[in-house]
Amino acid sequence: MKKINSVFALEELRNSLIQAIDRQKTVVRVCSSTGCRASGAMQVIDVLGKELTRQGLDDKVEIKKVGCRGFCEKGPLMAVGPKNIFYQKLKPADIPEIVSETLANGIIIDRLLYEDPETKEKIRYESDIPFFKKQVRNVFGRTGKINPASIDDYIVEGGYTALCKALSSMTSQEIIEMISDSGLRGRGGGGFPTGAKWKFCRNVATDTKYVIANGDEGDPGAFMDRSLMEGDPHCILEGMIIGAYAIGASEGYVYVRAEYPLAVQHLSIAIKKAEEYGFLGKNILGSGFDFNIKIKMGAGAFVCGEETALMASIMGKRGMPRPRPPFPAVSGVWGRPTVINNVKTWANVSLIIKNGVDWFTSLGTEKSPGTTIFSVVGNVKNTGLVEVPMGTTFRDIIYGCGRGIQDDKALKAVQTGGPAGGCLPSELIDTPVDFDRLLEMGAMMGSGGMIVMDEDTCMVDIASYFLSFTQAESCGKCSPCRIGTKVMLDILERIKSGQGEEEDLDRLAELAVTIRNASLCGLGQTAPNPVLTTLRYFRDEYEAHIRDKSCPALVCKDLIKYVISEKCVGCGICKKKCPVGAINGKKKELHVIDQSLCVKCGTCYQVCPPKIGAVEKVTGFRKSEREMTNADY
Amino acid sequence: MLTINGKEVEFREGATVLEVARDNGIYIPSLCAHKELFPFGACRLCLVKIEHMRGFPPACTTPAAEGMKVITEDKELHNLRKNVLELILSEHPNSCLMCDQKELCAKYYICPPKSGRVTGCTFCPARDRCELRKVTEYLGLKEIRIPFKYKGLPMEREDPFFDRDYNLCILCGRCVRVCQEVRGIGAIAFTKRGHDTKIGTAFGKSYLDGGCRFCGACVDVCPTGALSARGSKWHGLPEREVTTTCALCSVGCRLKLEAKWEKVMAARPDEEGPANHGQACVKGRFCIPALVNDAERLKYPLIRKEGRLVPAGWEEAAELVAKRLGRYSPKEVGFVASPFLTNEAAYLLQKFARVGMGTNNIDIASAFSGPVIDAHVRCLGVGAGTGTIEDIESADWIIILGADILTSHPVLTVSINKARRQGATVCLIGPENDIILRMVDNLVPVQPSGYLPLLSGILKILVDREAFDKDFVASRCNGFESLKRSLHDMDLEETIAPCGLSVDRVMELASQILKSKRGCILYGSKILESSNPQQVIYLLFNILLLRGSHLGLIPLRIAGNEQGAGDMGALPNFLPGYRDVSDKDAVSELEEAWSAKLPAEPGVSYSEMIRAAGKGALKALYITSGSIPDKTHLSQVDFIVLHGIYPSPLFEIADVVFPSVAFTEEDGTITSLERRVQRLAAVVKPVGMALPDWKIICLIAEKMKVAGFGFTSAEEVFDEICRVNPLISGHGIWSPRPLAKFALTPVEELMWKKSDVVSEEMPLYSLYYRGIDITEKVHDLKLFYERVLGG
Repeated sequence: MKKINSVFALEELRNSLIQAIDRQKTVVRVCSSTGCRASGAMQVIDVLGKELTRQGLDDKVEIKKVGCRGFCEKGPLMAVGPKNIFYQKLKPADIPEIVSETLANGIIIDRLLYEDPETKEKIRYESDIPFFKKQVRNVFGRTGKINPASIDDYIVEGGYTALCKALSSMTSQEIIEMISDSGLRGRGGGGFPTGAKWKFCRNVATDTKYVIANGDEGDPGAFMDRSLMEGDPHCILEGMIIGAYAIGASEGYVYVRAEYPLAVQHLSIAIKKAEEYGFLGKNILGSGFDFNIKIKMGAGAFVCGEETALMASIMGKRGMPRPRPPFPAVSGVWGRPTVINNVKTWANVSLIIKNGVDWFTSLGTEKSPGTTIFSVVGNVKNTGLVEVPMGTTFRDIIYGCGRGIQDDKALKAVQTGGPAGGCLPSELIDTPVDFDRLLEMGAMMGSGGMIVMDEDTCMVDIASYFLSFTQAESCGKCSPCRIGTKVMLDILERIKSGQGEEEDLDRLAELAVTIRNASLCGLGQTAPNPVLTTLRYFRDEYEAHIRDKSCPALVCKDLIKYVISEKCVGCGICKKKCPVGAINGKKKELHVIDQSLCVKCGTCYQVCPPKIGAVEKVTGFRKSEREMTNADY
Repeated sequence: MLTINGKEVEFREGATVLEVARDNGIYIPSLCAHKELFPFGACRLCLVKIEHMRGFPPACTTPAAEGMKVITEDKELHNLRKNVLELILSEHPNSCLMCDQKELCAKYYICPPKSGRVTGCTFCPARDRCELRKVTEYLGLKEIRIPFKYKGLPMEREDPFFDRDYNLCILCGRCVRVCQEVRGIGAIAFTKRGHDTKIGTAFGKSYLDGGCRFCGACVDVCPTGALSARGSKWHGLPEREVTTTCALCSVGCRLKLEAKWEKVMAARPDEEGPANHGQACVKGRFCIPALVNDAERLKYPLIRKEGRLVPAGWEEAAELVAKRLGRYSPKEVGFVASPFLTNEAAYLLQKFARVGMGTNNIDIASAFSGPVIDAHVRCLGVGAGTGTIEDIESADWIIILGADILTSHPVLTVSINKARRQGATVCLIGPENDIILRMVDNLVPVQPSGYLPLLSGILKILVDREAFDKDFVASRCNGFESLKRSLHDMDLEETIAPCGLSVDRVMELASQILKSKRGCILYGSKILESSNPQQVIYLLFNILLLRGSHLGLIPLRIAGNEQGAGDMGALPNFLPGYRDVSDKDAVSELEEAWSAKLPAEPGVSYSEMIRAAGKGALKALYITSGSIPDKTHLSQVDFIVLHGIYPSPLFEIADVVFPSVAFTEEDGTITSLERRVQRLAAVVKPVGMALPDWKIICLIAEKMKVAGFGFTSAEEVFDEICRVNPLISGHGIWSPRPLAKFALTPVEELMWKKSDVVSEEMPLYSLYYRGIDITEKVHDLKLFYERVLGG
């Protein structure tokens, strides 16, 4: 491969690549990202290949292994042909039919189509599915479309034109100004203006500078960074090269977790290819600018997503944050000025350079332009990755893309911002979501996790869940975070077990403030957020746990018990399934649960036939003296 | 200029807000900050408010800046700190900090030395020095509202010297940082995460196996009782603290010795120490009390009566010695100077030998005397190195040749590590040790027999490439042409073949030396195993001179005052100040100063003395070193006088034994390997009837009616030294007056034939003090050395 050394050479290559596309071929795009692989995409692809050969369609059909479409719940996914007929939940057994019907004859197979949970309508084309229809896929514009292992695919889609533009016609000053004007804010969660960060770094005069792409995604339930790295690695690299050029860096790192082997693989291929094509290395595109990128694999510590801990990790040290200043832009990795941005931020950079400031600011809100990606999970009908303009309301995301709450239950709360984010109540569902609004409400953007919770969720339990995560992932360096989160967690556990005291709420609040104000890094400073927001919006639930010893959502094990109501017909299933033999009763007679034996596993509740529904969860009782004796002494 | 609490204060560039505040007498509570360590920002007690800065930045990590407005104390900060401290104390046994009666109780506490575990108020080894206590008192915390949680971690007592009770640890990280940043060892680190975070070694190994050198730096920086020296943890505060110089090796560490009940209880490194800057090594930090407090110490003079050594009074013993010594002719008497004698004692011993006995038969019982000193005198005019510890710290390249420096001179590795942090390249030639590799850039595994070939090769590369300081060589050196001629016909490959390295490797090493001028070479006792140690030294000098940096050679002398004993003239061929015994001017000067006649004939060296003793030519031996390695030769000697602090194998043949003092009981001076003359200060009284060596010599001189020994204090002796010894004018580093022309030594002279200049009988003192094996007295040290030295 001859290195591309000018803008024209790239244009020429792109044209020749477009020319070379065989338009007679039907393109079948099968998602081969981690999510779909887990549900068997690789077997599907395998069978598809064999089946095409068997049915003699090899030269009429092209299989493209593409990146994540964000709709992993329905995987393995396949989009056929120019109109993207959308098949979901594929099994190898479905493939012969797809080949013989759809690919050979253009007949759409109804049973493999997506059915809208609301209208029960089968939807044929990808673009008509509400999950996709409501989205504006910019950063994810190419994932799911191109083969991430092919740099040519990326170039055909206009890849590296932004780099060409930047290197050939813009000064570093102009690039930074353009990024500043676009109002791009860090997509890792902090929302710091990217342009300003670059400017700081550019203004430090030293010989060596670094850029880092932070792909250390650690929020439970979030996987957009992974999908991006797996599905479109070149757009991250392109952004990094532009950024490096703008600040004068000569080396870059992509920090990615070792638990993301596919992302590592695709990034490695991408870096190798970019070097081959001359987008990385010496004298990039004939501009005289040299830049290299290395991959650094993290060992899976949540705190390594924090920039100073991440840099410590790159330098081979224990991933522990250090106080700032000095900021990385002044003294970062190896003591040199460093710009560190989330992978999504880097992906946005090339888009802004390519499409211009006006294009970018036309989306989103005034202070938070552009799009943002949420990982919508929890009790929502359609879970997955959703890219929407900043300022979209929770309602549009949850009910538009997500198609509402599972089993049509009521929405209770939405948790955003990962474990350090906040739980917002359903009343705030019409709030437009952007960096500042979330902060006002006590939550944060974080890396974009959005956990939807229905009415059966106990907020005390949720708060303690998130706190147990941050508590365990604290690096242990600073005392407020290491000890304070543990003390808070202990109090929550006590409340959950019905031993809470009235004063505990004030204690929690005071501890939360101490931890927030005194902790060293973002992890500690934000760790109390789930508690603070649940205290703010769901205080009554805490009070119920403490005063009435009841868990209104019927979740906290110590505060509920299972009872069998009059509806019992004495079928004996529960008695048979009870693992501890706590259920007594004769056939066809009312059964009774011996509370002293019951371990509250909930098996009886699950096995009781729904049409009978005799097993009930109840709460709101005070522990009898006898039970106290058994359980607590 | 910045403002703290409304007050304008000056600051120096690079200082943190905490340092500026402390410099100006403003207290900010803190636990993790330490002045020798990089800022860390973990304890979160030094949080302050700074205008235009978000939140509560920690004072310890925030760099002071012009115009900054800092508030260190207000209600909000006070509460915040109190809350943080409350969290810390919720995991640290705190009754000792919270109790109303704590002052009263301190007076009457009982001593629980058998208990390993700290559970409450009276059971903490750090109770009198607890930094947590200071902070708690400052913040006025009276109650912990959070339920106390005892971590219940096991006591860690398997390793020698110090106990670790991580139930008291507040994870300030000082120990980890001092081990890594200052000592360059990195034996310990934070392990696990979250609430389970704990300090430990890799894979939970023992400290012995984890590379720990037991320097005690971690114990010294620990603000709590989590780390405590096992030997002294229950002694509480000392009655007095005396700063003196450690005599166990030649580095010259200043130590604060703590005394209680007329015993040395503990030793801590002095932060003001010019050689050690608050650092110590396993011997200085942990071994001194056991060494000097041992029950076997000699308490009274012994004389041989009816074949047995029996106690005697000083008068009787001294008279006996005076009487017997008077019988021998000058040639029949020999004096062995211990390399642990003070300058005063060494000076008086050689004065007594020369004036009282009329003989030059005096030598230091050390492998480094004799040819090594001669080589230095030939190159430099004095029998000393030219480098200082400061030179190590500011060097651009350092070569360690033939020394296991981490064992013999551990504190020097602190300086090497410092230089390395500032960008120096460190090269180790010779014995390797997996721990020292952590602070070495270039390991050159060459056996002592290969030193000469290797150094010659380097020399050839320097000369062939003309990579030498031409001005310096032209103006300050003699013999360059003959050196060049001698190298001309030498084939590089052939020359270096015996050392087993490739030409490329030697080139690489040479290029390191070429890189910059400021170099430092430390050579150790392994050169004595090379075929010709004297010539190794010539080559090292050649290299340094060619690079125009004659200042940088440091011989790694072993014993505490080897340097000083030589400076004082306890040598057969040199008078005080390394003036030759045949130097007429010097002799007449001294004769005038001492009002006595000096012997003209050079004396015999230590090894010759021992050989002569074996043949019966030597009738009397005066040994001040406690013991000597091979006593079998001595059976022919008629009369043996011994100075010592412990019983030794020589007791079988000694006729008179004088109980001397340990360095902790003595006033005087000693001279370190960087030629630094430092004070010894008596910490406690001598054991029993023991007397300092200089007093014993004076006593005998008095009995023999030799004039010029009427000293009443060590100061008086030192004053005389300053008068007669041109090198010494007081305390501090004495500088060798550089020769007008340095001699470059041609390589022809160096054809590596085995020379017999060094006797195999020469003792090496790395584990010895005054003739006794320290490991015999300190069991833990034995444990450590056995492991370290591959026992």
